[in-house]
Amino acid sequence: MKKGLFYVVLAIAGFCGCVEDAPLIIETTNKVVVNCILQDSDNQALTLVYSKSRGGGLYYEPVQEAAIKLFENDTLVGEFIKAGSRTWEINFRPELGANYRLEIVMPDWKDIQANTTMPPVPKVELVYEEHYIKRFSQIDQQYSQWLFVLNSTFDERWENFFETPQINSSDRLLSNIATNHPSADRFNQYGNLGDVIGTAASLPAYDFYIRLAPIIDSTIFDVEANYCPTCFVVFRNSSPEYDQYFKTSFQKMLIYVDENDPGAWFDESVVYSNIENGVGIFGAYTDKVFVFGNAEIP
Amino acid sequence: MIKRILLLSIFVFSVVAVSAKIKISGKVQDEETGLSLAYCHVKVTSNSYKSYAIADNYGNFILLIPEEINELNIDISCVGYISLTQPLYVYNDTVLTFNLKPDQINISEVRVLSRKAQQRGLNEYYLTPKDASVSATVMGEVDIIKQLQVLPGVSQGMDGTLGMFVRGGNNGNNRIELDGIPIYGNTHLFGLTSVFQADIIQDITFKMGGISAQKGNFLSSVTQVQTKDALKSSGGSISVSPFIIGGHTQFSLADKTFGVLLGGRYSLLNQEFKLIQKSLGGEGTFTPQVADGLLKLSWKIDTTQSVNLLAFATNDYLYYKNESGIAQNWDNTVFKLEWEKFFNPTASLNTMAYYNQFRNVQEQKTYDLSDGLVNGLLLSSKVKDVVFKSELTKQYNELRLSTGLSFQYTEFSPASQKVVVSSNKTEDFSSNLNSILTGAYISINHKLPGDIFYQAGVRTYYYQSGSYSNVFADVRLMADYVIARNFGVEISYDHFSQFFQVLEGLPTGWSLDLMIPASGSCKPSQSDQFYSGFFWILNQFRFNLGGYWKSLTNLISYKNNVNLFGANNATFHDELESGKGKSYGLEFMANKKGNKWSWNFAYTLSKTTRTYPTINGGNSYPFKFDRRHILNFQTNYITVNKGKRKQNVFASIAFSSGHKATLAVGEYLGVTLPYWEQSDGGVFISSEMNHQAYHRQLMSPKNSYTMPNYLRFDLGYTFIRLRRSFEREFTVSAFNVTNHKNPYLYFNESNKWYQLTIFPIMPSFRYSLRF
Repeated sequence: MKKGLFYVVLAIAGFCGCVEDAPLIIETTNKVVVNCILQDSDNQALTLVYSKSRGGGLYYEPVQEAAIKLFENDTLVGEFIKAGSRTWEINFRPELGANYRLEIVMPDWKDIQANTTMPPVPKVELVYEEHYIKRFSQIDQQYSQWLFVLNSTFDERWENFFETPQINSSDRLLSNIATNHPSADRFNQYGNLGDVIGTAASLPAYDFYIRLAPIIDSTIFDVEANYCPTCFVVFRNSSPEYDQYFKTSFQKMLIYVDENDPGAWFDESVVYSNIENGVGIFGAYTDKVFVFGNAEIP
Repeated sequence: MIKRILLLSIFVFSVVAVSAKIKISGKVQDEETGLSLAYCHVKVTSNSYKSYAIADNYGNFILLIPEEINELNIDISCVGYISLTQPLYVYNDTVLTFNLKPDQINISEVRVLSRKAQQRGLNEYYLTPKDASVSATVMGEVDIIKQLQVLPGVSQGMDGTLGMFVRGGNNGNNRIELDGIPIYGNTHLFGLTSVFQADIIQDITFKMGGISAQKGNFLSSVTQVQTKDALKSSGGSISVSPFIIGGHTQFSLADKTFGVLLGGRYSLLNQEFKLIQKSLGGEGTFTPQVADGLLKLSWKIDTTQSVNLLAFATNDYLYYKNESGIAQNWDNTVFKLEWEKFFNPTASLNTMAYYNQFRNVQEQKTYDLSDGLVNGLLLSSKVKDVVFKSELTKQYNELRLSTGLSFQYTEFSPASQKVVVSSNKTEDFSSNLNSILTGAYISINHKLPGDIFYQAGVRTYYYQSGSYSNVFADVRLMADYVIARNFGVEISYDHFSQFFQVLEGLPTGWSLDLMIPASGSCKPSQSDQFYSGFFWILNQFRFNLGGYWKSLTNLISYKNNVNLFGANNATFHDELESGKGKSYGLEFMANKKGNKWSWNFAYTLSKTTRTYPTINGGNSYPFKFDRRHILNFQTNYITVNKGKRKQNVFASIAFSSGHKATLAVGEYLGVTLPYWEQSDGGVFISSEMNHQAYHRQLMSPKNSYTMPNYLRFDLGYTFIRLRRSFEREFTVSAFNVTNHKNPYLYFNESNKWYQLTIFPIMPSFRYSLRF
């Protein structure tokens, strides 16, 4: 919508042709970049690199020396160990609902720290399903959730009745999904699914992901998509930090959805960061994955 | 000098008073505006008697004459006004009001001088369309709101538009009224010109401090646009500029018992676009429709009471259709009924009720090959006010008391969303939020001996929206004192409250901003402002120097800068953040109003910051339009003034420090969104969007980059020809005549920096016929 609006503004103001080279030289001081998203698994990963100036290529210089400690409810649970040029790991499974603090000490840098909370498992249950519609019920929800769908091809994972299929790299993230969830955040809503799945679609559609804000009351809602017979519907409970990082990152991406959109010139949006004396994200999430075509993963 | 004359007058009064028994008192005012005329000469003569007085600062005078003199002539004269002489028969104490007609030859200069004599500090300004006609605008229209941007304390937003930031406030903290009614969507064409047709405006008063308690529900400034009074004068006009044609007429009927003021404008953009497209070709259709209209009916029931009925409407509809259709629409609809009753010459009651609606709509439609609607999204916002208010005014000699009540019911429908989800079904999402604002106030204006004037008032509110309710009080204090020979000092303190929040987009006076009522999570905004300054009036010259300090609380902002073009979805609440602001500065103004040459110089040195808990890490940062230095110089020189021919050249210089910007200065490794690399390819993903999926822009601290200084020269020339029954005026002008490239923003594409300049040189013209 903003693109068209901007064209109208351009037409009115007649300022086409007022774009020219700018003699701008910006000196930047690089920052330490910390990315760590805690998951409900036995191993947690963290990347630690330096930022770079614009036009500085795709390479990020890794941090060679650092002491990275993880605290659970103010109790030290361990240190991250370097596992690659920019990757650090710790064997640890977070406790749902606990608070976590990350402390990083690097020579000649201010100490870096960040805090987050490990959210519980989403309280969502499947109520009903048919080809285009999956109906779910949800009881009170304290954390923001992200909802997305992956279609899968029928392969050996789906032939084994004794194991629940896991998402792998052959599965495809659907770019168009729809819902009538009452607390759906409409920032990436664009219209309808009609163009994709025909008249069966009856709900507002979203790009790739749907953000569900916390709710107090129970609700029943539909998720429409062009589902394959084998597919995954994922509900991701997000810590407030990860939720803001997710949303602001996606908002930033959507600004650049059309390379010819001059609205991007006005972009001054900032992706959320909770890293004190650095930049990046320390967050956490817990997934609940509904598997269609086989069994449900608890 | 004037003080001496006043002392002399008082002396004369005293001497005469010994034998006087009849008191002639009254007021001298401008016939067209009703504004008081200061320091007018009032003379009464008879065959055997002569007396003389000078009106005070507020146009009031008192003469005491011997009881035996009943027939005399009274003569009123004032610089710049046609003198009035009329016979007078007095047998008792008499109260009179005299209306002087402005001298048509030097109308603009003389009017301003008369009013400037009342205007002391830098808190308040009076302007007429004539004042605004000597400045160039982008659209070529005379724009009296645009003229406010050259005043001290005002920082302009985007170049050439009506974005206006007064003493550190937001654009939405300004209250712009038309005959007492706030106009929320006060710009056409995304802020390029205001919705107020210059030809129907009598004058405007702009106040940013020392504001009477009569005004409320704002945080920064009040602009009172006053329309002409058809009962006092008749006439009409037709005007043409490159994009807009307009006309107005005003006349009275039944011996000035009924008055009609009718005006309207219509944009020619639609026809011009079609013409250009026909000759140059091009895809798509663009349908701009811009119009405004006003009707004011006045009925003077008798000498003590009158009724006014006002209807005002504006509309901007811009529709662009190519592969898909984009429509933007915003409009105002206003109806007002006003009754004014004078119980006696010193007491009056003014009661009004009005309905005021502002609506904006953004619509996007996608069509199939047979032009059938396959996709659609409509986002609209609406604000509806229903207001009743009444004010009682009483004058006790030098003290004027005003007290009043108001009741306001407002219905907000922010970002109602309608989605076409299939060929025959829509999904609606809307929320209606209502608020009730009741107010009561008392305000006194008092002139004390020794040329001291003070104004004090308090305004209380009871506000309710949903489950949130509270009581608020605004205190307003102002005093000025002439120390010696037109040199004086003014001080003021104002506490303001605003009960609706404006979520601001582009800084242009953007009409697609979202308005929401204050609530428990988004409390009413408040501000405290102190001002102190000096004034010096010397013949044609006037100098002012003052300083202000202002704090603002409960300001609302988008957390992230992604809603510049208006809210793009109905769930905007998550995007909001409440914070505070601070601003302080020095203001200086000097001007000369001469018969041939007039000029105005304004300078502001200021600093403005904002602090929000989650923006910029909770640290204070410069406000976007925190311009350290703002300098404006305007001049007007009458080159030809021969009988019926008059010509004048006008020029202006606008210089200011650059506004602030946040730039993407680097890049860092990001966490990709879940399974992003496994997308099904169902939608097109640009390379830049995909790049942003893996990398994050490292932004500079919020508003830490200062854009280059802003500099602009404007030039214009006006030809006026007076005929027996009409006046012709033709103006050619150029906005940014040197074509100076003032970058509004920098952006980076393919690791190269570019700048966007909003307006290059914009030549224009305006032809008007007044009769």
